[in-house]
Amino acid sequence: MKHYRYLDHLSYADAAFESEGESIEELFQAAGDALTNLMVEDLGSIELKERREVHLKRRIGPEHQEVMELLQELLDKMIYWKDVDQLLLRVRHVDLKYAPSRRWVELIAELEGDRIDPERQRLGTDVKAVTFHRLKVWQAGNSWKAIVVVDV
Amino acid sequence: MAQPVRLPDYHPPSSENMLRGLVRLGETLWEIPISYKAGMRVPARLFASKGLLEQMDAAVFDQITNVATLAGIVRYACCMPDGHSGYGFPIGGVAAMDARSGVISPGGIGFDINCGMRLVTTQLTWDEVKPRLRALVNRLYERVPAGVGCTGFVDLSASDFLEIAEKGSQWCLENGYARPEDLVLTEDGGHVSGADPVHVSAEAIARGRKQVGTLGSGNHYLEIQVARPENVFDADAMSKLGITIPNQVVIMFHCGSRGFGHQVASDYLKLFLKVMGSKYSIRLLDRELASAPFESPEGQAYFSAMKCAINMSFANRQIILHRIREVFSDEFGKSPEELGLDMVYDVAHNTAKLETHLLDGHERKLLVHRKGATRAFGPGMPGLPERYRQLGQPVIIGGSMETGSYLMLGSASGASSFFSTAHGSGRIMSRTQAKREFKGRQLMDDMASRGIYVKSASYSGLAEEAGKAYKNIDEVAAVSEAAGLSRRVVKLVPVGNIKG
Repeated sequence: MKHYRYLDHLSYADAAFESEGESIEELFQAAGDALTNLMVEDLGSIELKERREVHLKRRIGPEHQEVMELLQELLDKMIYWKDVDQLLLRVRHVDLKYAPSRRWVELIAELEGDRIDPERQRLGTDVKAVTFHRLKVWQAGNSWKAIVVVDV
Repeated sequence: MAQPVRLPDYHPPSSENMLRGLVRLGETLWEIPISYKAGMRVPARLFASKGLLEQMDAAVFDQITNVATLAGIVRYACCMPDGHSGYGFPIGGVAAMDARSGVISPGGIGFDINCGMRLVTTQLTWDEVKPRLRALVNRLYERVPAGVGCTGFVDLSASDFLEIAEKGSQWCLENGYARPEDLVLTEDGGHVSGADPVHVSAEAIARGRKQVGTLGSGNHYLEIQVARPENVFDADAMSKLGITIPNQVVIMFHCGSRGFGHQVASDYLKLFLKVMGSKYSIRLLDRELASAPFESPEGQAYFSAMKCAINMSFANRQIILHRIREVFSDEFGKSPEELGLDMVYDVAHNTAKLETHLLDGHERKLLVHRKGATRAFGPGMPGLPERYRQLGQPVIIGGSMETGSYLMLGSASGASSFFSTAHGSGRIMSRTQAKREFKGRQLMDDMASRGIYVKSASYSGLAEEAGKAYKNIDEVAAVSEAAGLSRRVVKLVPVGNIKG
């Protein structure tokens, strides 16, 4: 089941999506898929052959600010590898470690994916950047949700 | 347990309500007074007909009035006739900041720094090109990489790339990818000084290194177009710009600084978000307007890094021109010189530049942000190549792939918008909506039946760029002229198109 949907009216020039999950890990996986699904029409055409890891650390802020920043940075890294290594990636695992002081949180994410191959994959639109425009992460009931606008 | 985060839910004013708040100053000029929103330092001005204004989504009004709150902004925040919503600035936003007291904002330039347009002539007529059109488009598609993750110059070393960031098209000239007149006919001569790669991250260099000579995707394209006699507005000016024969074939393309510029913008956006409140006490209505004082170390570092991306983008378009020359030369078995593959001009439409403008009778040094807006210097202004000094600056306005594009000229009356004009058609539909309403393959067939041969790396990407997702380019060009921003020379219609 898809845990993301594309939004119409946040920005005409760009692309926007809302993603959700029962945990932060699921939320990040869904957002990662929403991002990659803009660039390739069928996520199933990505074989999980190459692996990348992301390590990030953020100061904990009010209203899940650190989660928002980690999500933005993680998606940014996916765009980075798309340009540098021509990789289309999916988020496989996300581990969040909160410091005992609750002042810092560390993220370790494992990404897996495949080289871009126009012969095998129907490609979509290149994503240039993850914007901060209306970027938002919140909890609703038992789920985590995020809205992200990306520049295409 | 709903937890609100940093921003409240977004409820933009409806277009209808917004229209009521506008003051009409003329047939194509509207103002939103500073009383509209707390914090506005200057009014916002929109250059548009009533029809174009009604097609702008409400977020445009919200965003252009946010721009009017930025420190150091002078006179008014401008929105061009093709304005539509983006992030931070609207696309089509122009803001001039006092160079000493003002800020610089990556959101006023866009992630795709020096995204721009280049127009090239041939001495071929449509009758001569028609039998070879498919072969030409197919060859161009092979030689000018387009689409997600496309790579160009694989063997460009890191030090070569840094040199490109410093020198722009000058590097191309030194390495056999340009003729001297190509640089003369590029905005800023294809090279801006003060570009120091020391201000650029390793990530930005890694992203850009393999992408010199590539088109990218989204609304980027390379088109073969025809200057039909019935679409000429000013034959004399047109011939001075190099289009001299009926049904002459020209080549237009649209692209920018690729991942390099995107990363430069991302890096500095984050840096500015970090320092603007704590160090410079800047409070903003929108994070995407993140700014730093222009004269601060951060502001100057970004200005220099942005110039590196400006240079890389000029070089990118120059290498693509080189490829185009090779392709036409191979296909016709003649040299590029014999085929008349000459530059008309190259314009940037995502930049911030230091310029001198008259303000209340006094010359002022201003940092002019143009995001999805084209500089359009009038006749006689400094900064124009000698050949066009009396004519005014050529302006290249890219329309949708279905409808055509315009070659225009800057005019003296452009002072009202800091000599800026439209850059394209302007969207009236989001990409998501366009993908729902149009199917790429169908569109490709429809266009073929209308005589436009398209080759695209993506069907869905093609659907996003359907003509109906955009404003009417004829109206945008006519209104730009009526508003005194620039004047029409010729409309150029597509016959072949490559889309990323």
